[in-house]
This record gives sequence, C-alpha cells and structure tokens, in this order.
Amino acid sequence: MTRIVSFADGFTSASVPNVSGGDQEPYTLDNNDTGTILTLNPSLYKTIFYSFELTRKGAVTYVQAGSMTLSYNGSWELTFGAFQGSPIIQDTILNTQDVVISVSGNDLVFECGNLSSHVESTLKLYAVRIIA
Amino acid sequence: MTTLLSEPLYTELSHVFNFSNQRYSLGCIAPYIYMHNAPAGTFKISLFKGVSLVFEKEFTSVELKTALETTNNYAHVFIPIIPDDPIQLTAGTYTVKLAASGYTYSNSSFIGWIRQHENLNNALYYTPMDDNENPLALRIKVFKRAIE
Repeated sequence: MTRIVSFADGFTSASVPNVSGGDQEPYTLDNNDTGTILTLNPSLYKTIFYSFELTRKGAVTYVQAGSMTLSYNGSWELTFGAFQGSPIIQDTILNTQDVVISVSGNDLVFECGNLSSHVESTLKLYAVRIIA
Repeated sequence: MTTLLSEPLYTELSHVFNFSNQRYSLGCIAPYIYMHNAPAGTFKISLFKGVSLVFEKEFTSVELKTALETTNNYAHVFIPIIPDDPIQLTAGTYTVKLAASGYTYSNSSFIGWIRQHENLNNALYYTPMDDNENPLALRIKVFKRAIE
C-alpha cells in the first residue's frame, strides 16, 4: 500500500518527513473466540477503515461483508450511522450479538461472542491503519 | 516541498519495460528509491530478460548515505545501478526487481520505490485508474557514441 511522503526541499533530510498511508492488517476470529479479541491503540491508529467478512459453512454457505470508518480525535468516533458501543456488525449477521465494537478508555475494542452456533463461521476483520 | 508517492518494500517490487528493434549498451538502471530512516538490511536490484537474470547488484542504507555524502537518514534519489560487465540490451521484455535480505518493513524504517506518472522510461501496459497505479519510476541510461 502506497505512502504519501511530504519531503522538505532537497533530496535528503535529517528530520522525519510527513508520511501518510495505510497498512492493512487482517484478523481472523474463529468459532470459539470470545471476549476481547482485538484492541486498537490510538497511538497507532488515527483513522481506520474497517471491513469485515463473515463466512458460514455447513448447510448455509455465504459471505457477508461490510465496512465502516472510525477516526480518533481524542476519542474514537464511529461513523457510518453507528454509535460508540453499538453492535454495528450484528445488523448484517443473522443471530445477532456476534461481534461488538466498544470503547474502553482510549482504546477501540472488538469483542466477539461465540460464533459456534453458526456452524464453523469465521469473521475476518481488516483494519487499515492510517499513519498520519 | 516535494510530494512523493512511495510503494514500501515488504518482500519484492518489480517493474516491467520493453525494448523493441534497438540495441543499447547499458550504462545503468536507476530506480527512484525512497529511504525512510536508513533501514537495516541488504537491498538488491535485479534485471531480468524474460526469466533470465541479466545482472544484479546490492546496496545498503549506509552505502546509499555515503554515496549521497550525507548523514541524514531520509532521502529520495534515483540510484544508479551500474553493471560490472558490459551489457547489451536487445529487443525484448525486461523486469527490474527490488528485493531485500536481513530487512523487515516497519512504519518507522523502510525502503520504498517511488511511483511517477510522468516518466519517459515507463512504458505502461495498463491504464492506471489512480495515482496508486502509476508505474514504479525508473531511469535507464545507455551509452551513445561520442560526439564527433
């Protein structure tokens, strides 16, 4: 993923140029994962574009996907028509309350309920880290 | 202020170009490299014709800083990669690859290859839809006959 580098005049610099851009980090939540799965520290994530993909196996096999934007400006702000602490993802997953996004202190927290009731389902989370 | 679009090196980056109906004596190939905080490791530029290796050379951040006569850890430059042996470039498809050993990407220290959309040496085989799809910038220097 490309980086945008704002470089002061000249070809070398002793100070760090301003670098912005994203890293994509996938996380897989499996059936038996419960409790706090992932915590995002705002010192590493200023804005994240978060997308998810739920794949169910067994009698019903399909993929559900969605995305949202979260930004940090002293506290995590959830966009895309959601509120802090609201179970955003559940609206697109049958048998709700599977994954909850909440704020604990300054950290953005992903909590997962037991997905086993959905027959070998896995949830992939893609957090794209915006550096600047 | 210069704004650069840099593709960070994770494992390998490559750029493809064509020569047709010409024969050139290669002076150097010069990828446009961005050095962010002088990362550790050894970086290798390789030139392939098809699947055949034409030549390759390595460099480190320390060597790059020495060549630039600087102690700064951040730099952007077209690095001349000069083959040790005479090389003739003939018609065909070539690939320039950037790889590394003993190097691990991190946000605080990495090597990148800069993308440019106005680069005379870049023959595009696709239509870039945005700046992130601009070709990895490369200069190719060839020997010409002396001025008579």
